[in-house]
Amino acid sequence: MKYLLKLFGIVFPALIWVSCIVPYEPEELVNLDDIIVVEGNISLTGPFSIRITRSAPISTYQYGQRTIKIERNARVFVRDSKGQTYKADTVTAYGEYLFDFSGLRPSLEEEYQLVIESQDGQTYETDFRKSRHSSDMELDYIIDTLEQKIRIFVSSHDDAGMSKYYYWNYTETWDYVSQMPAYCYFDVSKVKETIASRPWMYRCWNSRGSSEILLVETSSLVQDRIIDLEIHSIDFRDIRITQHYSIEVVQTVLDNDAYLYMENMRKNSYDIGDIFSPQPNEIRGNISCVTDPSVRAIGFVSVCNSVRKRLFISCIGLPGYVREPMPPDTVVPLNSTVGFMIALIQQGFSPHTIDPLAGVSYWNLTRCIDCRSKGGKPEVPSFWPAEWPRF
Amino acid sequence: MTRRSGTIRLLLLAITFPVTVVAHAQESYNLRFVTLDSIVRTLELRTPERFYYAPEQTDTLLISLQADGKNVLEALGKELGKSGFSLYRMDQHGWAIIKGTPVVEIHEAFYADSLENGKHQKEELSQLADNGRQAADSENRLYTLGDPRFSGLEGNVRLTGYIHDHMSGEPVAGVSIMTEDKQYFAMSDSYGFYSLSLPRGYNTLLIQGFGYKDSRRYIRIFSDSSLELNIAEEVFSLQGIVISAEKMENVRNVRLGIERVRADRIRHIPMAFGEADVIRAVLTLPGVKSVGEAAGGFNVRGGATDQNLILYNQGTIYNSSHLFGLFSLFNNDVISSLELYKSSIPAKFGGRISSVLEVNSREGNKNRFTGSAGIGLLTTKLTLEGPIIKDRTSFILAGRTTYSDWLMKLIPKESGYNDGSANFYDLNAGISHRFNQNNHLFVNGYFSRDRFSFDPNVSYRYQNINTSARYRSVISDRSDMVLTLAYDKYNYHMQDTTNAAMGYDMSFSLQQASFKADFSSRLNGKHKLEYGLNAYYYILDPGTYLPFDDRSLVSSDILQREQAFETALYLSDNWEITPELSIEMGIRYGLYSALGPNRHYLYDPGKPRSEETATDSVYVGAGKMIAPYHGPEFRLSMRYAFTSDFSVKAGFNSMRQNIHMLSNTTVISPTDIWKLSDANIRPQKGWQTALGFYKNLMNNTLELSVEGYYKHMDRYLDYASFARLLMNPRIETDVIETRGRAYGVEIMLKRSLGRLNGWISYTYSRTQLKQDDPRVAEPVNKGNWYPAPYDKPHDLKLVGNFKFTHRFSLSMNLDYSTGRPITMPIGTYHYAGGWRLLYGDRNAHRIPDYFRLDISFNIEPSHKLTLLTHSSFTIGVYNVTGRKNPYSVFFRTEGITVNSYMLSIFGSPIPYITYNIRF
Repeated sequence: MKYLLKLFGIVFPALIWVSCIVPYEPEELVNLDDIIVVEGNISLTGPFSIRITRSAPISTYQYGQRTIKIERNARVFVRDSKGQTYKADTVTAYGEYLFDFSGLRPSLEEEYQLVIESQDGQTYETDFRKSRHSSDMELDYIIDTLEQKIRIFVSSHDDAGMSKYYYWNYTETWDYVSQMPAYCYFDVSKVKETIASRPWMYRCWNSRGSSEILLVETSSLVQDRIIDLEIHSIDFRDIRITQHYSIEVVQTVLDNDAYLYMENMRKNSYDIGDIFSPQPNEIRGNISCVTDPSVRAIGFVSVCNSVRKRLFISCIGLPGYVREPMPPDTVVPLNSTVGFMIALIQQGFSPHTIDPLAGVSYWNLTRCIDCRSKGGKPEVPSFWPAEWPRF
Repeated sequence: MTRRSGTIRLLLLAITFPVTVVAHAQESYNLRFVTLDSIVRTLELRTPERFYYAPEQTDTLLISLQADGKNVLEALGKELGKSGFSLYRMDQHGWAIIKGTPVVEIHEAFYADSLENGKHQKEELSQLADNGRQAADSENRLYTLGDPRFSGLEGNVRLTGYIHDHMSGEPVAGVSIMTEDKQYFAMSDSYGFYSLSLPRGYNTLLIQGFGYKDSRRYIRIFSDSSLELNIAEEVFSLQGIVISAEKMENVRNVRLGIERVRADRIRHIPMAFGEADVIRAVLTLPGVKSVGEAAGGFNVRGGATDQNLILYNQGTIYNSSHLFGLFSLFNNDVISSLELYKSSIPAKFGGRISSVLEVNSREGNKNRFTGSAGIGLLTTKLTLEGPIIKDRTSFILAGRTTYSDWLMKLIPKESGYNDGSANFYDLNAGISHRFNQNNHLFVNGYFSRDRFSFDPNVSYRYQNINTSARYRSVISDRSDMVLTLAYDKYNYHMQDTTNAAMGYDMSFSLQQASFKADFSSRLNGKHKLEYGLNAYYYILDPGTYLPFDDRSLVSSDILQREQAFETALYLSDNWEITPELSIEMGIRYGLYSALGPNRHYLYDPGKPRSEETATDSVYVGAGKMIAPYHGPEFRLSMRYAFTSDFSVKAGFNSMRQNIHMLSNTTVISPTDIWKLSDANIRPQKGWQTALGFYKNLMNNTLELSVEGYYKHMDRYLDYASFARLLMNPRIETDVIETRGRAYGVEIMLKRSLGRLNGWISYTYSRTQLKQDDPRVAEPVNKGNWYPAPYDKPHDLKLVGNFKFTHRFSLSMNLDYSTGRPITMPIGTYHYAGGWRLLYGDRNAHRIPDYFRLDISFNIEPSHKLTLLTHSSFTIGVYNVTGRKNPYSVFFRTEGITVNSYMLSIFGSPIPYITYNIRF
């Protein structure tokens, strides 16, 4: 078949597929702000909080993090189906209405609703719901040297098979140290470098709440059981796992409606923009305005109990965060003028060592010396294990 | 009765001169050193005489002629004699100019003239009447056809036959055949079959096909007869040959909204990666849109992607894309032609409410083994074809595969695809067999498999299988029959092992067996009847959900199998009332029912369907009908030709669709499921009415068409906001019957011949949907009309080709359209630790407009016919301007902020080079 040798026909796409994602600023946005946003779940067995905020216009999104518009002067109470009400104890600065009426031993058989009388005179109500029970939870982690990550897993099971719809959120807390320890600091009251009794602003603690929406349902499984579901992972190079790390996970068991609501919110937040992504959709929560049905409300308030678990991980030995190259120390005579030192401080320098024999102090970049410059505070959290260093 | 061979050889005695010349005796001729062509033209103009000769023999001949009207033929004969040519009388006014020897080939029917004169015996008459089919390859002969006894009669007769490629013997579709005055017109179908009604007597037939030499045949026809035509492919010669196919089609065809594209035209449209593609070519046609560049599927005149019936060799394609829609599953190397019915859908098609895309593959070369191969950065192709039994049986085999995993690595991380892999392969096989002139069998098979994953733990696979056997029989000159048996399967698998305890393997499968019997017959030249029977049997496994391995806690769940049958009878009549006025009336009556065994729920009527409002469940035994739906569909179209180049058409169509695609994406994705109508889900219905004006300008070189339409769709299935489409045993509670309406005007100017050819089209169209089912508590956009995701009102398309010389040509493709609608957020709020988006009305905003220009430069290096191989280069750039056309605009919560982005699939110019060798 000599003609086969002549078979030829080559296609050379000379360049590659170049798809790209670029920032985009839409025009003519319609804004609908000041919609009441209610977040939190009613608990009959312990303290709980309901946060009431207002929605913000989308057009300001480019300007980074905006402040949350807080509704602090609403009248918020829980009502059972017999008409008995339970009032909020206090309101925090973040708009959280704190409740704890577990001492009144509310009946677990009763249905409950949340009622809000807002500052602008509207009344909002959730539908009546029965308390969902909760199931236990285990936390575990692995140090994955292959993927260079710490992975955190949750396991949970409900032998009764009643839970099915799980929702988690977490708060992580970590300590870290600055790039170089400082043995002195600039004492503002003395207006000079002062030797510190222990490394100054060397170790800080920081904390962050989850912003992902973590949900799983087990209705397609033979058991109501979750085994080693990864809920969080952190790269080895992340500052959070350079020293010690702790995570508190809150597991909430939702009902089907609340689950669908949160799942839709998750899709709208994360499953958007890909080639096969579904279109975004709004679905209503269980809050409605009873004084004016045309007024919208956001949020889903369930009646349920949460389970909290905390995990501690010592990360000593991991590569740590990427340190920036530091310039050579600036040598400052100890008798320098205040103006000179203030100018240095304003340029981002801090003293770290005093050499009394040479009569000089050594200065370097504040952001490499002062741990607060990376967002944390030198305050030890109350739950921090005693065996872990405190400074 | 013995059949006489088509032609006989006989020795003719030289005709004795002088000859009496009948007309215009007073004319005189004084010509010096002119070509035979111009002499003949002059004589044919002034006298009733006709001359037949081979131009390749006489093109060097220069003749001087001095004569008056009486002795001009004698003088011509003498002059020809000097150059070694002879002039022979063939019939009363027919003359042959033949080189040298007086042995000539004369068609037996030349006797006919003498028969008419009573010189032959009657027995011979009956033999002549059965003169059989003949192949007409020569442009320079007069073919006499039919029974000469009818020569004196008035009126029209019908000429039928097949048009084949001269070299490969393959039938050629889409070739127009018409009389010289363009009054009578026909086009070959996908089997290469044509049927032309034309007046008795002498006719000159013009045969024009894209990519083929324009040619003509001289015939004299007495009665209904058949004529095989072999036409030669166009080769680039220094003297230009115009390509002028299809240009009469618009004006003459009674149907509206038909688009035909031949495979070789597809090759001339610049494409991304230089890969010629059927679906991409369809998207250059007016009235066809898609939601974006990498979107599988297309939308025709406001219809959804699942409302297009895609037929490949009469098998049904359920997912037409490879590699996220970058390629279609059709391998262009084996495609012969495509036809898209946007408006007038012939009664023989049914089952979808928007359009029919009919794609047919080629038959293998009947004369010799050939093949082609291609290697590229994305795909490798190999095609082999050839005869099994020469002139009777041929095969074609084609395979294509990709190794595009590397491509995924280059995609930006943000797209979420660059950890993945993607590849596909497909196979085409076809055998065609000719039992005899009248009976053909075609067997085709198609298999494709796609696999892709976005991260190592999640993978998708899908495959298409299509097999069909078609038997075509020409029962008589006036009627033929096609029997089709087909089996199609589409299935997919999805695996997710991200969490071992929840690892699953989900699969979906749809099988379809079909039988079609299609008949057509022509009655007395005025009526063309088409009638037949379609029968389908569907088996749909909506979901099988299995644990991935023994670590998985997933409980096996197999949704109950759905089965259904569908039958339809149809009848249509294309009635040519006068040459100006034609009507096509069709009716199709379909009966559909889902079949047991099946258990379905009954719901409280008037309340939203949910688990709570289910009142009862009903079990239907095996083979019993669950919910029969039946009804007529009407197909009407009418044409009035005011002149031979201007016509007006109107049409009305109604359609039903029993199978639905459920998708929460705007494109065809590999996780869409199909759903058969059943007790709770009713068939979709739709109708379209259209009006069109067709005018050919500038001596038929420019075709202008204006078509307007209004379309209505009922019971299109949209999904509820919280819908769970996969593994949902009560899918009817999560879908919403939606109404749709679409209207628009398509203006197209097309020039199919000349150095500059192509088309420009502008479309204004709207497509809107509305949910007004009272049972739906929260309809989309409060039950108001809202734009469909593919509603792009303004659309300008330009496909052009300019030939600098016969070696160099430039192709261009321009596409502008309004941006598609999307749902935009109208506010943000803080919830669950992050900023969330509050979305407004569905599809209330639009993404920026789409504009793309592609240019390719084609070089044909060799001209000589005698070369064994013909190579060509194409150098092109896709998206020349590098415009970052948005595929989507979206907002994403990242940590504590919300950012908005625009995704472009092809955000920069993409150059490519193609090198092809044909041999």
